[in-house]
Amino acid sequence: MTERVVITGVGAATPFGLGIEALFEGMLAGETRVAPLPDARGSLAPGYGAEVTLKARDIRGLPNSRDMRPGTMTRYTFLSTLALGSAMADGEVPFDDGDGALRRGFYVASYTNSDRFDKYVRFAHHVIDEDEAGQPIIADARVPDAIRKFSGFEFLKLMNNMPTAHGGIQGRCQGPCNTFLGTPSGGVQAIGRAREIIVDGLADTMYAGGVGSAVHAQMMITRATRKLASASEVEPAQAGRPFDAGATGIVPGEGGGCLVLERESTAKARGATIRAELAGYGEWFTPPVSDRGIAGTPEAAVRAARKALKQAGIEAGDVDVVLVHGESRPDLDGLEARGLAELLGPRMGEVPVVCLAAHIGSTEAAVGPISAGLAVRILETGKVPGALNRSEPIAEYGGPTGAEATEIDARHALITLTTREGVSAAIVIRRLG
Amino acid sequence: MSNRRVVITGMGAIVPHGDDINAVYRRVAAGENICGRITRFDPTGFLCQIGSEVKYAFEAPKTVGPYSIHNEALAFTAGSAQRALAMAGLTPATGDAMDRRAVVLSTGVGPANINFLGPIAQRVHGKGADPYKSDLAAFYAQAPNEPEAAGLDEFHLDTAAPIVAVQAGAAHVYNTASACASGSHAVADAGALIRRGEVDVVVAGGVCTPVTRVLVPGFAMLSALSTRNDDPAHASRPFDAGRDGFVMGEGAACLVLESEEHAKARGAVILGELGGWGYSCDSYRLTDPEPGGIGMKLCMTRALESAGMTAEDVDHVNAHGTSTMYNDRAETLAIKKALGDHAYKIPVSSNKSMFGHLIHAAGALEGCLSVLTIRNGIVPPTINYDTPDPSCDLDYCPNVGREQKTDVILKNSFGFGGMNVSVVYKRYEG
Repeated sequence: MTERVVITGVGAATPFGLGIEALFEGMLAGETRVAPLPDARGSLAPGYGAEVTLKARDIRGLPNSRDMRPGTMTRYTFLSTLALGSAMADGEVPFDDGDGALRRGFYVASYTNSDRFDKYVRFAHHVIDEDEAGQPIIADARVPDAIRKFSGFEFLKLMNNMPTAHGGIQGRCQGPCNTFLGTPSGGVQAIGRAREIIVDGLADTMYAGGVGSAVHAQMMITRATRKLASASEVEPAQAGRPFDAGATGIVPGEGGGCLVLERESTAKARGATIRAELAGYGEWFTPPVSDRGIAGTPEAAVRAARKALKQAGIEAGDVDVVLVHGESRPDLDGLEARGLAELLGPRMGEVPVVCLAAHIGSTEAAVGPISAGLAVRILETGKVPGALNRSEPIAEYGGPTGAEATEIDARHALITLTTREGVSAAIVIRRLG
Repeated sequence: MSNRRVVITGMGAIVPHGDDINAVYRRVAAGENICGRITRFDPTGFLCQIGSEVKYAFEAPKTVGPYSIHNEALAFTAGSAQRALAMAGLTPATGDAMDRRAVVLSTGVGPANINFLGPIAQRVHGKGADPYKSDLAAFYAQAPNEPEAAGLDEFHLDTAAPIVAVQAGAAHVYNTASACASGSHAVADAGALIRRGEVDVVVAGGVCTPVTRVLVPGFAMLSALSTRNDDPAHASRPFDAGRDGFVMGEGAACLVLESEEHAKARGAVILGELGGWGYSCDSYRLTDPEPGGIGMKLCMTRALESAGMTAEDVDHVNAHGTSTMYNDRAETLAIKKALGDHAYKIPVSSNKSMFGHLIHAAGALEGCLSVLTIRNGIVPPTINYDTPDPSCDLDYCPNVGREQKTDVILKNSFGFGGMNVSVVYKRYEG
C-alpha cells in the first residue's frame, strides 16, 4: 500500500503579512487589503490592488536566511522566498541536516519573472526610431548604449526558474526541483506533482507552492488591454467580488504560498506535527473556445476535481469545504460556479465556498497554495471565512453568500481552480485523527 | 508504482539545421556548424554578435484549435509537435481518451517586449524625449489603449503548452522551467508519467527564441556568451581550452513518448527507449555550477539507477557541453565521478559545438539526436576542438563523427541556478 503524503508545514506571504495565520485571521474578520496603489501604478487601471508590504529584512528571521540575497531577486522570487521560509519555519524542517538534502525537493509555480517593467519601457524608448515613412523602427545601434542601464544580474533574475533556484539553496534541496509556469492552476499542479514525486520514491520531503504578483505595471497593462481588469470607479474594498453580479474584473493582488509535504514515515521519524494529509490530486485541460477566451463548459474543473476525489478515496458528498479561484470576472466565475454545481449537486447551497480574491485580489499561481494553507487551518479549527462581497450572486452560483465566518466540523477540503487558460487542477486535503 | 517501459515513437524539430530531424542528425553527425553572425537584428557594436538562427522558411500551422500561431516561437512549437506526432502516427485523442495523454513542455521566452513597448513609448512621450526622464505615469495611463500592448505577454509563451495539448488531444499539460536543463526535464517528467501508469502518451519538448536585442546583450553582460565575433563558426568550442562562452540558439524540438504496450498495440514504429532519468539541484549558487560537480554527478548516478544500469553500460555521453569555462570543467569532473574509469573509455561529445545552445529546447533536441545516434551508429563529434584543456581530459570525439555501435547514451542537461537532469536513452529491444 502506498504510504501517505502528509502536510507538516504551511507558509505564506500575503498582503496580510507573513504566515498563513495573519491571512486566516484577517479573512475570518472579513477584512480586505485591497487599497489604492502608490506611485505611477495609480494611473494604471484599476488604480488599486493588494500589495505585500514585507521588506527584504523580513527574510532575515527565516530559516537559512544567511544564504539568501534579496538584491538578486525579482518580486516573484522574493515572494517565493518568503513563502518557502515561512513554511520551513512552520514545519520546523531540519534543513541543515547534511545528506537530508538529497531527499528534498522544491516545486513552485510562477509566471512572468520580470518586475522591472519601468526599466524595459525606458530601454524600449531609448532604442526606438522612425523610418523614412515615419513608422517606428528599432535602432539597433542604440542597443549597446541602452543595455548599460541594466546589470548582467538583472537578466539572470529574469529567468523563469529563479524562484526554484533560490528555493533550492534556501531549502537545501538536492532532489527534484521545478518551476511550473503559466496559469493560476500552476500552484495546485506544483503541489499535486510534488506529491507524485514522494509517491514515486524520488524524495521524502517536497516543498511545494506558488507565487504571483499582479500589482506590477506589466501585468496591470496586460489585463487592462485585454479588458480583464476591475473598474477604476469601484471602491477598492468592494472590488473583489467572486461570484457576485456586481463584479467588474480582476483585482490585482500578490502573494506566495507554500506547503511542506512529507512521506508520513519521514515526518513521524523526525517527530514532526502532522497537520493534514494531501490525499488526492487531479488535473484536466479543456481549451478555451477562442484565443484568450474561456472554455465553453466546466468539464475541466469537474474532471480534475473528480480525479482528486477518486485518488483520495472519497466522493463529492464527503467534501466539507471548497476553496476556489473566484477570479471576480462574471464569465469565468460563471463557468466555475457551473462546475461546482455539477460537482456538489444539491449540496451546493450548504458547502462553504472560500475565495481569496475579495481579501487580497488575484494572486495568480499563488492562489492554490495559499488556499491549501487556509484549508489546513479550516480543518484544524473548524472556522470558515465568510463570503465577502458576495451579496448579489450571479445566477450560476448557488452557494453560500453570508459574509460572516462560520464553524463546521470539517474532515475534507477540496481546492479546485478553474482558469481562464483552460487548465484546471484540484487537490483534496484530509484532516487526520 | 508500476514500472512500465517507456519508448520513443516520434520526433520533430524546427531548429537552425533544419526542420527534418533525420536531416538535422545527418548534418550534426557530419560536424557541420550552423552558427553565424546574427541576422535577426543588426548586432554591430554588440558585445556578442553571434547566434544560431532558423533562417529558412518552414511549414507550421497558422492556427491550432482556438489558438492563433502569431509569433515565431509558437510556430516553432506547433511545427515541431506536428512533425513529432506525424512521425508517431498519432491523431488527437478525444473524450475520456484524453486522460491518457499529456504534454510537458519546456518554455523559454518569446518575442522581446521592446518590439511592443517602443512604439507606445515614442507616441506617449514624443520623439526625442529623454527616456530616462519621461513620465511613466503618462505611459501607464495610455499604454492599455494602444494596440501594441496586446503583445506584451507574448514574451511568456503561456499558450505554447496548451497549443501542443490541443494537437495531441491531451488532458494533462504543464511546463518545466529549469533553465538550460528544461528540455531534458520535460522528457524525464514524461517518462515518469508513463512509467507510473498515469498516461500512455506524452509529447515532451522545448522551445526558446532568445536571439533578441535584449537577451543577447544581457547574457553577454553575464560573460556567458562567446564573443568570438570575427569567427562565428568556431565560437562554440566545448571542452576546448580556447572556449569563451556559448552561442545563443533558437528553435523547438519535441519527442513523442509512449508506454511500450500502447505503442505495440497500435503497431507503432519504436525508435528507441527511455531507460531512466535523474534530477538533482546543486543548492549552491545561482550562476556557477558546484565546482566539484557533485550535483551533476548526482543526477547522472540517479539516472543510471533509474535505468537499472551501471556505469559500464554507458556507450556514450551526450554532454551538456555549453562551451563555458565553468560548465565544461565541472561536467568533466562529474562524468568522471559518476562513471569512474569507464569515463575515459567512451566518447563524450557536445552537439552544441555545431548549433550552439538552444536553452529551453536544448535537451529535447539533443535527446532526439541521441535516439538517432543509437539508430544510425555515428556519434556526432565535438567540433572546434583544437587545444586540449588539462581540466577536460576525456575523449570528446574531436572534430569528426565516430562510427560506433551505441546502445546506451547518457544525456546531460544542466541549468543556471543549479538545476540538473540526466536522461538515459537506449536501443529498444522488444
